[in-house]
Amino acid sequence: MLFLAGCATVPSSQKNLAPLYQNENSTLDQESFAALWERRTVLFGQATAGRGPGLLGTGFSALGGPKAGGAGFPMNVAATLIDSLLLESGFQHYSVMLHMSPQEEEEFRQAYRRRYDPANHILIWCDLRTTWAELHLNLDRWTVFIEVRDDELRQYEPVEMLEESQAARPAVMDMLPGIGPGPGPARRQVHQKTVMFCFPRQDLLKNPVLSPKVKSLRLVFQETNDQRTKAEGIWVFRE
Amino acid sequence: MAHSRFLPSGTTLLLLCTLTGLLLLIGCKAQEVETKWSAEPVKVDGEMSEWSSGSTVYFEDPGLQLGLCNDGQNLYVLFRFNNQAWARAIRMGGVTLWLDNSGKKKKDFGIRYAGGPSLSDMQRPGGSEGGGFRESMTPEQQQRLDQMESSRADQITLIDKKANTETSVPANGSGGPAASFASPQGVYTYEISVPLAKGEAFGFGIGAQPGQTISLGFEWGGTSKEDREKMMGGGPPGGMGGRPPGGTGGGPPGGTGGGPRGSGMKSLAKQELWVKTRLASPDGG
Repeated sequence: MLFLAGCATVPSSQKNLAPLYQNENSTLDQESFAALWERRTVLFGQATAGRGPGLLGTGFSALGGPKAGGAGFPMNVAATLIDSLLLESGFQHYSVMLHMSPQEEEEFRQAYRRRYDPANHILIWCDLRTTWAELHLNLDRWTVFIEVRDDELRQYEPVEMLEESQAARPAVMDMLPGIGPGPGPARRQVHQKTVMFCFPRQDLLKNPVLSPKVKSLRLVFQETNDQRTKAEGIWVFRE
Repeated sequence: MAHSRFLPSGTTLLLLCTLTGLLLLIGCKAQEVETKWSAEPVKVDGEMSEWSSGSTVYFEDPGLQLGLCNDGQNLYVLFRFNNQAWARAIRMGGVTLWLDNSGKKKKDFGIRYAGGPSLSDMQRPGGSEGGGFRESMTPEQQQRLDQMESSRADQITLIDKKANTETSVPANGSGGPAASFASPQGVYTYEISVPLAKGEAFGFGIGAQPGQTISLGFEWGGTSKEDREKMMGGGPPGGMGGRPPGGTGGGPPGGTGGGPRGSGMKSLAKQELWVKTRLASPDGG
């Protein structure tokens, strides 16, 4: 279930998860990888305002430019929090699917750990898209950070950003009637990029960033030169 | 003997449940869709070239485009949307097309097709599945993954609930029905053809003639059969080094918030759409 809440620039998107200590201690016989993925993914930005969850899944905006729709945020973001449960589910999912031998599976796990270091990083996988100019996908334009709320509010910037795919050829989307503006089909060029954001698991004093007391984790994209241009997705940890 | 003026609470509850059920049934009535006559057989390739704009309808809720046409031999179904979560769900668990020649909503005969964009496509920008798993695989594993996915798209499963059978046949139509997937202009497009007459090879066909009213049910999402088997049957071969800590038995079994504890599987929301249609005749009747 997706809830929309108020935000400075565009409506934010929120997902409710179990408290962190439950996520860390849960076993994997409950949900499929796809279901877990879905539950940890928030969609926010360009296309979210006024659309139902079904259409949010399209991830594509009907907005054509900065003034259209009044939202003013140039990107659509699908952000997935890769917590330990999702990570383990992914390992199992692909090892079963590919009939990996125990050795292959261990190498697969190690390769992942080497690449992303989940023991020391909070991992957030982001799919960024825009129907505006490609330059909006340039990460230099954006200040990306997380806000962790427990008894106080703390902010952390990523220690690493791994661009897993470059903004390559734009896809031309044939927007179905009812999704695009106006009665007929509309076509938009969509520029896309995928990034893994790695945030620290510990602060400078070696305290865990995501302690069991944490109530919510907020991922914020804020345009560096115009701080009013801002969008965010929220994971709320609830009993 | 005095009689209570009020119904016992259990009876009231039963009445309320019955009324709610009736209201839900009314709400779930199959929508009527026109089937166009096709003078030529439609090539099942997932492309839109043979579908004119007048031969499709758009369902704003849940947000998909549907096209139906038939010739004297086959019913052709076009099913398209641009919801990536659905495309992923179909690739993992398939979309089932239920066919009921009585015009009701029986799920006795169906076709399941699990074609769709490959994982590599989904993980490219624009794909919603990712997480860095593919990036952590060896090139050989990535290749295996691609092959596995393409082979799944080469087959369809014929479901006969009455006979309690599920039969895999090639998706190219050599076994009767055919199915294909493409994404013209980035829209996930599924095309399926089903013989109108019962076939000899698998006894599979709608068992209907032009002019007859039939019902079609589309079902996708939810937990796939594969996932269920995986969950019931345990983990991958070779043990599970590196399981997350816990699983201690004392920990909450909920996994993620909001759901009932210890209630078993939870899944992506299942989607279901039923339409009723009258098969077209060459004279337009």
